[in-house]
Amino acid sequence: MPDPLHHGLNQSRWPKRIGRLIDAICLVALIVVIVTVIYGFWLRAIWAHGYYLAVAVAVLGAFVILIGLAQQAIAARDVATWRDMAEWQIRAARAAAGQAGATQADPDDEIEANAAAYYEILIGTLVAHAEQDERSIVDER
Amino acid sequence: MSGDPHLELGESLPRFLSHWLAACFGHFLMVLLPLITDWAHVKNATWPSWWSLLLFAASTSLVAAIINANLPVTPREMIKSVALGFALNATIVMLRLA
Repeated sequence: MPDPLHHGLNQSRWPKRIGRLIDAICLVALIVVIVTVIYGFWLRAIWAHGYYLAVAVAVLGAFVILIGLAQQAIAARDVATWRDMAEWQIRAARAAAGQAGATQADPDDEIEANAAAYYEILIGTLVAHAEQDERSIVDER
Repeated sequence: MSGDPHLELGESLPRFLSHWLAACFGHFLMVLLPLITDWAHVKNATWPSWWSLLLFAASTSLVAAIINANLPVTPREMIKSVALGFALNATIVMLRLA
C-alpha cells in the first residue's frame, strides 16, 4: 500500500543500491563536464588572455556546486541520524510506559508528578496525539 | 514517518542557484567542445569576449534553472540541468539566433 506521506523523489521502485550507483555515475559525469569546461576555457585563455577571468569564474562555480552537493549530503545524513535517535527514544518511552502501566493498577490517579514514569506516560500521550494529528492531516488530503 | 526532506520536490533559492550554475556549465560545454575536439582549426575563429559569453550563458540558463528549480541538489538531477543548458545553447546555435 503506498504511504500518502511519501511524495517527491524518494519513492522509487528500484533498489537503493542501483540508485546510489546511478548517483555515483552522475557525479563522475558532472565532474568530467566541469573539468572539460575549465580545460576548454584554459585553452582559449592561451590565445585570449581575458579568458583567464572566465577560468576563474568557472573554477568558482565548480566549487560552489561541489560544496552545495557535499552540504546537502551531510544535512541528509544528519536528518537521518536525528530521526533514528528520536524513534529510538519514542520506542524506549513506550516500552517503559507499558511496563509502568502493567505494574500499577490505576496509573492516572496514583502516579506522582516527580516520578520518572510520569514523564514516560506524558511522552507516550504526546506521541499518541502527534500520531493522531498526522493521521487527520493525511485524511484531509 | 515521512521520507528524506532533501529528496522531496519543491522550489528553493539554493536549488535554483545550483541548477542555474549546472545549466551554465552545460552551456559552456556546448561552446567549448569544438575547441577541444579540433582546436588547431578553431584557433583563428572569431570568439566573443569572455564576459559576453558568461552573460549569454547566465541569461539562457535562467530558463533551465526556472524549470529545474524544484529538483533536489543531487548529482542525478544536476546532470539534467547540464543537459538542459547544453540543449538550450544547441537550439540557439541551430536557429542562428546569436
